[in-house]
Amino acid sequence: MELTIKLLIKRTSGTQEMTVTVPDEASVLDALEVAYRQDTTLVFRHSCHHASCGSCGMIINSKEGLACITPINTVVGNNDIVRLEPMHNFPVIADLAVDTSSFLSKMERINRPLTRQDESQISIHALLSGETKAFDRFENCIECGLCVSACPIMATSPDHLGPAVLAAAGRLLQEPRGRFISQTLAAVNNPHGIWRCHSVFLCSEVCPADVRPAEAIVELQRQLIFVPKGEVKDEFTL
Amino acid sequence: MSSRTAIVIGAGSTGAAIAYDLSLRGFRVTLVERFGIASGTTGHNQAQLHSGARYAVNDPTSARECIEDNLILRQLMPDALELNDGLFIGLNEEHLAYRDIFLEACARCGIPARELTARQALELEPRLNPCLLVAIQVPDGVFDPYWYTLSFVATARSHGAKIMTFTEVIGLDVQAGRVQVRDRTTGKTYYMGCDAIINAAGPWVPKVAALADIHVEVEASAGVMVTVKERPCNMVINLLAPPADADIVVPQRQFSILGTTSWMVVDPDDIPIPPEHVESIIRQADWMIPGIRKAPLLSCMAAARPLVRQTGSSGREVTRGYRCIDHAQDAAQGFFSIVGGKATTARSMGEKMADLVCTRLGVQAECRTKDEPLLSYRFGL
Repeated sequence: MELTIKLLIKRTSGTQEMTVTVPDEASVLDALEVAYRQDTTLVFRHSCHHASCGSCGMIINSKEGLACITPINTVVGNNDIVRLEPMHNFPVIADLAVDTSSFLSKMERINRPLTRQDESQISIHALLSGETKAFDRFENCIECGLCVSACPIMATSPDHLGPAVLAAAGRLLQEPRGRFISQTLAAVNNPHGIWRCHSVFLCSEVCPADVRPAEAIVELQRQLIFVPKGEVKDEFTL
Repeated sequence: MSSRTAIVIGAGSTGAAIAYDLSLRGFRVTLVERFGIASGTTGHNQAQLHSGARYAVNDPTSARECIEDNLILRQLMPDALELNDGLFIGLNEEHLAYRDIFLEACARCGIPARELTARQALELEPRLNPCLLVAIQVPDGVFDPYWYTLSFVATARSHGAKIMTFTEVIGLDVQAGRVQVRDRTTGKTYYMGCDAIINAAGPWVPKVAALADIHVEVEASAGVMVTVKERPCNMVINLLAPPADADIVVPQRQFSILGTTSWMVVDPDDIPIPPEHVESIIRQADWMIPGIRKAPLLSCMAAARPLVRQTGSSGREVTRGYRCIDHAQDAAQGFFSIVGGKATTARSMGEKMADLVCTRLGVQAECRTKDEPLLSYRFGL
């Protein structure tokens, strides 16, 4: 079975309509790749094609999603049209590609990835040296930026840390692993951090990795409500 | 230190690692890529950080390269790797008979391998097929191919490299040392000059070389990968048998990538996914890990491996080794191509290519990528 659909792509030069024919089970990204073969000036990001790299985030029919895991047959309406736009709240490089580097810098200030501890595993270090040591596992957050795009606060307050960054802070506080958390607490316990959030929960709704940033923010607010803003001491622990 | 200039074409793991190596040796490097970082073969990758065990029996050179780079990257690039080991499992008499050959080959290649009893293996990985006869644990791992490549890119940039994504090479004038590019974000075309042009475009290497009227042979061997939304195992699970189709389950984050297959394709930009490949991959994974076929399907993808063409062998038999080509042999001084290899060995591929470029350009500079820690992927965009 094949589908013929009209992609309405918001490009830098204006909206372009492109007709593509794809297998019934194709993803939005597959359809974009067919469109690229028709017009090689089309600019979009993609890499892993399975929701691991987080590079193909865009607005699909007015809602944030990863093109690679959005089956085209779930978004095509009766009129056979799918609308694609670049993510909100990021500078557009061209067409559907945006610049997420400032978001990644904020993430870097708050937390390092890879902090999940293993349950039962023996690592390479054990194999090589005979000692057993916990191994690391990727965090769930793929840093795609969909939550930043969906967040209504980010639209008017670019200084807001945003959902993913606050969720990363929440993750660090859950499992600090001996690291100082005071700086992170001070960074999120301020007007640009958790107290700017209006609990709209769109971030959790669009998150493709089940990180649930909104819940993490509410939990941080609950824990920090009696802590003076921006005045967290080094020895502070939750 | 050199003040020579190099243009590297293709920002997959190979091109990024070459740009990184050359920038550490003092080259002024420009990395050009027609899409974003790791948007070709590297991105669509099964994400297995190889210990080399898979290739130990039939392709020991590749196996040794894998374990060497595997051990180096563990030290230098921790945030793009998941160090969860791999398990080669035997489910029938044929697999059992392969055990000794496999263990001996791993020992010869310097790959730490530990035999587990079926009971030990099932304790570690309770979802494995209970018919398990034997299991061998090796230092495989999982990497995030995008973050992995971004990490090389980030570190190259910190050493002065210029990264030009969404920039397509449309012409090569090798004699004049000029590359013609089109900035796809603006549509503008222009020329860039340099001392060395390095074609690291993976399966697109022949297409880029053809711009200079040079013929390079690549076996574009496609593979299908199926991602399901479940993580039933901690380790990478391989069948204890010579490399074949659909014999690996790679757990990554909260899902698993099952694969893969191997067939020759003509156009790496257009690889249709044969439905029967998807079916056979899921069927075999379900033999290794019963019940995995019930997991929700997340995506199906395919990419072309840019293998070195050898006469008399194809697909699975082709070495996963790589070849650095000096096109001085085609009367094109200062133009180089690289084919073959694996994402796991990107660092040593970068080293060998940079060695070749330095030798041809008469540059004296040692490789430093074995000790220099890499920056976070977060600085790569």
